[in-house]
Amino acid sequence: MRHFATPEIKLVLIAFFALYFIFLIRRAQKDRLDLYDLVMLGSVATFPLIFVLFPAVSLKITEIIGVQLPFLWLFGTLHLISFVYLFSVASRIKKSENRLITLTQEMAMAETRLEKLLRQAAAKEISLTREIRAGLSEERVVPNFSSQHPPSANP
Amino acid sequence: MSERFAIIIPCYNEASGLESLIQNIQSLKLPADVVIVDDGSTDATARIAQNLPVHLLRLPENLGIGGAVQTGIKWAFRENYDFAIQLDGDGQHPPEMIAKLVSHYKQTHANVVVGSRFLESKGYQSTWARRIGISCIRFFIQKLTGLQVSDPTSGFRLMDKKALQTFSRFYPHDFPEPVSYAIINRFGLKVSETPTAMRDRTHGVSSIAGIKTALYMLRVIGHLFLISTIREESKIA
Repeated sequence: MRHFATPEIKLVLIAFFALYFIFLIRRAQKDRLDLYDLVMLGSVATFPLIFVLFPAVSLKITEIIGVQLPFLWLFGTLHLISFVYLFSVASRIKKSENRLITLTQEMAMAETRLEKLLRQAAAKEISLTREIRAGLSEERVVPNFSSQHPPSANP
Repeated sequence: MSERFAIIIPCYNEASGLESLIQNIQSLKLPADVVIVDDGSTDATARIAQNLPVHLLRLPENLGIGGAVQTGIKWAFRENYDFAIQLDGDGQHPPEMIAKLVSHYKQTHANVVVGSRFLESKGYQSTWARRIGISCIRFFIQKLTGLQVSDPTSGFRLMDKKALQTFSRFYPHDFPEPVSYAIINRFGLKVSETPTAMRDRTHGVSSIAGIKTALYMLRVIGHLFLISTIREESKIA
């Protein structure tokens, strides 16, 4: 016995599909969702819609794969999508974790290196200041020395 | 030119014992630089370390012991140290034993020299539950890597330049000491142990206790198995 969805159910599913996709696309536009994730998450709404709008397609696939109810086929597919998505998310989380660890390590080392350089620069500045001061004091000595022996050209 | 040594001390909330540990190391007058890796401590560890004659690597987030030790290893390798000695910040590893690791290296030229508390039954030997766990880990290390080690969880170890180079690229973030044997085996590094007396931790609480000991053991075996079965070096994370 074949059951087909009523127009009301079709309308509800179309509305859900539209609202859900608007929500997903907006998130993707704000760069909060990857395009790949958009397709994967979107299929949760797409599959039931295809299932309801084109029952012949569902029935044909059901016949091919030998599952008695199209309902089982639909939920089987949704489960498969969820597992593929979960796998992809888990892989990406692990990858991000490794990147985060490397980044944190690099930050710590860069900070220490920067502090070391700053200390070296400060030490250099101090020695340079000392040299300048020493140079200035020498310059102060010269006029004193010259004042004791005024140039002969000076009347 | 003389060889350069770095003593890597990973610290997480070790403020209470850090100063005395560094004073202890300083009193030994070792020709080595001390590198403290503050693993995102929430106490005064970083503030205390700043006033000590050490290189301080301050991790903005807690990475765990593996991430912290690898930071020190990376630093030592990039700063061109010839050797690095890993020492726990909780006071379990007596700094007086560093000389023993170095002299053992000079005899064996092993890439990694590990201080073992079980080669001679001296000092702190850990709890019975942990010793059972350690025995299981030891068994699996031998089965999966062929390496015979008596103290696979010891974090008191000397690493030469080759080991530093390897570990700066590949170092396990979870359960680093036992799992690192799979990496040691994978990269053909030579490992040797020397008897070392250890102390019970002077402060802080171990994160592995009770049921966690069994879980720790199972996860270590899992990681060892995974790394041992990787064929390509580049695939080791």
